[in-house]
Amino acid sequence: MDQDVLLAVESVHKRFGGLVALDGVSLVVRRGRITGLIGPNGSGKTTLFNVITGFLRPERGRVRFAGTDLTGLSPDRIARLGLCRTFQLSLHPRRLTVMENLLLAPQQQAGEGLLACFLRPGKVWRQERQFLARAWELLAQVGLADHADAEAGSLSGGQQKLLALAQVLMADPQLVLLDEPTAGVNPTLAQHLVALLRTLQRQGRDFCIIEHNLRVVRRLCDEVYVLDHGQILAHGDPATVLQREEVLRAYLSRRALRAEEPDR
Amino acid sequence: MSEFLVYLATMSGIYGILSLSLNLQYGLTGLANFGHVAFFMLGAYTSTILVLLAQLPFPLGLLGGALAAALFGGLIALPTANLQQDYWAITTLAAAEIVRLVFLNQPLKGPYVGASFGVGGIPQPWRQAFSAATYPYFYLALVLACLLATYAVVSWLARMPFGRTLRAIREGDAVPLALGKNVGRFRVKVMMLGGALGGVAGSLFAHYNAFIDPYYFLPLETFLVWAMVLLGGCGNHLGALLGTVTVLAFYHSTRFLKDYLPLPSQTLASLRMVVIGVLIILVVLFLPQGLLPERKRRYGPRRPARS
Amino acid sequence: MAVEQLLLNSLIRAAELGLLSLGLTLLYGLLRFANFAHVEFAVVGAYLALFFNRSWHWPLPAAALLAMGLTGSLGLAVDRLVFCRLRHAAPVMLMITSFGLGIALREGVRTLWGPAPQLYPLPLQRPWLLGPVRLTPLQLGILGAALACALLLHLLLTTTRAGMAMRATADHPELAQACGIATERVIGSVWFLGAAFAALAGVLMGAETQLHPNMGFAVIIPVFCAALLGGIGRPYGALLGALLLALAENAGLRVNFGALLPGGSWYLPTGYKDAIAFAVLILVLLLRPQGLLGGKRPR
Repeated sequence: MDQDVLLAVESVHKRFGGLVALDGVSLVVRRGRITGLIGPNGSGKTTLFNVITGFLRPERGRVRFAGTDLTGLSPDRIARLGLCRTFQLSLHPRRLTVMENLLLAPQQQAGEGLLACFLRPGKVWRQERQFLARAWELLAQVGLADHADAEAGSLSGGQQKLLALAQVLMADPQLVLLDEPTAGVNPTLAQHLVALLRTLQRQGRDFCIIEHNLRVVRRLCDEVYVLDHGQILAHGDPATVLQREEVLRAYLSRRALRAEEPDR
Repeated sequence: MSEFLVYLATMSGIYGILSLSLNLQYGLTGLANFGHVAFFMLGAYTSTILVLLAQLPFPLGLLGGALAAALFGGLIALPTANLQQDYWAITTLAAAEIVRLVFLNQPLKGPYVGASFGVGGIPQPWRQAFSAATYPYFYLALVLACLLATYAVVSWLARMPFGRTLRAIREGDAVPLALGKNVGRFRVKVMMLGGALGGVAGSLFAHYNAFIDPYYFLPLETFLVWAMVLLGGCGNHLGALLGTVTVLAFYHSTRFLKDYLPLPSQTLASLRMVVIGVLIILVVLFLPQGLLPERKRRYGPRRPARS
Repeated sequence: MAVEQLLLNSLIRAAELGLLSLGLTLLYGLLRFANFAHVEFAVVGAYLALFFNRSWHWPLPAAALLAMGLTGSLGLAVDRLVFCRLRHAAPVMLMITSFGLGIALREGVRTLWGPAPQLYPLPLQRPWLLGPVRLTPLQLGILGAALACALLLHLLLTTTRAGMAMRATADHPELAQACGIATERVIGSVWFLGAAFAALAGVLMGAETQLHPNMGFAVIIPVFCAALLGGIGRPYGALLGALLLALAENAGLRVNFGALLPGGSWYLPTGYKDAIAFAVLILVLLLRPQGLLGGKRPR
């Protein structure tokens, strides 16, 4: 198998009752590249994320991550293998504070063991201090440091997206699947976010991103897949794919087109 | 009167342990355990059987009761660990009733009747060392020591990362799962720990009351504990204790009310349950946070990322 | 006992459980609300019928009809007063509130009518002998009433707007929500119908044996089990579930489990009859959580 390939989705099928959500989707996420996934609403993007991360089980096809077959594994197993995702809608524990949401994320926490809480409190606190330092760093990076003690539920939609990003980074996965990371985030911050993701990617973390904002896709992604009606319609580097008029006109919503115009 | 106050305090201590245990399961983890009384019952019966029939010392009975209840907690959590709250509620309710069926139908060995007639003559621990007048105070101290230990355990856990993950699970599986938390295993652990604590309360009750029968462990008891936790404040351990004292004081006040109200005591007993039922509805509608809301951990204002 | 008699007994039990689980499953499917107070409507209905029968000297069927209407209205009132404020609350909040309501209703009945069991003043039932089967007129009445209700419900579901809305909601909850089908009127009709059917079930159970404030809570596990077995939100599923469960209960006590071992003989003691519903419940949750007719999935 290609050494570069981090995640390989092989002809995945998923249906809900009579509705075919994914109709033989195959795609590849390579190391060292940011892969984009675009397509109109209802084209199956989020369903694909759900299948990859184990929240849904496909009828046919398989998913491989870093050489491991993920098919049939539970979501938490997959996350522990180093593949984490964010959600399109904010599902954070709303009554936990922003900081608690971040501290929740790290894996292998000694303090999550029932016995360790009593028998090894020293180790738990040492670890907690490390996590706290890293959490402050991440909060500063996404601009949420002033909201550390706010309840997650009290944040605006854009801020919740930033929280989701900081949280998933806190979990320190190899590959991050981001479901619309810039939706609802103001343009200045969105640009900052793009820069941040780029930096992180250069530091060795890989991303696969569902995104509606084509400007972001063009800036950020090295490679893009267009999904429609549960099938891969086009694939290639964003400049080429997004220039194909038929892709734009037929499969992206008008609003996305309009958002694209000032840039063209 | 002071006799009654000692009784009330002892019962508050026992029910306080039950409330803290339910608060751990529901207040912290969001588990809708409608069969909480099963832990209480298993603790009471196991301890009774071990001390009365197997002639073991009381501490071993207490331990055995806790262990049996913990095992039961793990057992009912296993098939339902990944199901939603509505399924938890009905499964736990049903499981508790099945346990009660067993004790209702199964006579115990020897001269102790068991089954629907109950078990009497349960030995009171270290009874010989005290006079009749001082023993209630000793038992109260014993119960309060157990309550204190329980309080220490649950509030310590709530402050640890373990408690944080539980509170995250309370608000939905998706994010904890996506972050790699084995949600089902956390639930099983909580049910086992909650079960052990409930078992301790049951054992303390059995040896205090010296008599138990299956009618002490009706689903109504579960509901009483729910009323305590909801009124006090879900997720706040001090609140759970406050709720316990409030509800129990009301529950036992009818023995004084009957001197003032021209009603048969049976009617009064039903009426107080009506009041408690209505109280629950009112708390959910108008005081969803309870008397003492859950407290947030503050991490202070923004600190320099690296200093 | 002959197999035919066993079947008949199961049918009667199924009629009572089915009537009770209908309202439960409809409301559950509509609002994702496991109503633990639902079985108490049976108690309220049974005692109301007793009151009209005894104090107003109405014949039992008429008293039962009036009790159904009043209990249905009580269901509606409970929704308007309490549960309509909790439309967006977490399911667990609804369950706890309904548990509180259930206690209040049950203990309210106990306060008014006392804790002792009571009987409807019915004439002595002289059974007909149909081959190996003994059937009393009362039992025939129970089956007839349950059948009439099932037919009525079928007509409501297939011909009225509210009924079709209920079915649509059960089939495609998200879609129905999006189309605004789960309107307050549909919710109201489900509360009324469910409570009224439960009241009838209460009268039938009371007529067959006796009235007791705990008669509702005593069947809560079988009723939930029937609804889950049939598939949440599926009225026909609930009836099927009730029938299968009743058969399992009656047959379960007659199977020689000891025969699994060579030469063994062990029957389930009758005291453990309720354990059968629990066992079925656990099996459903483990093996087919969406129920036989494919209702809502638990996750």
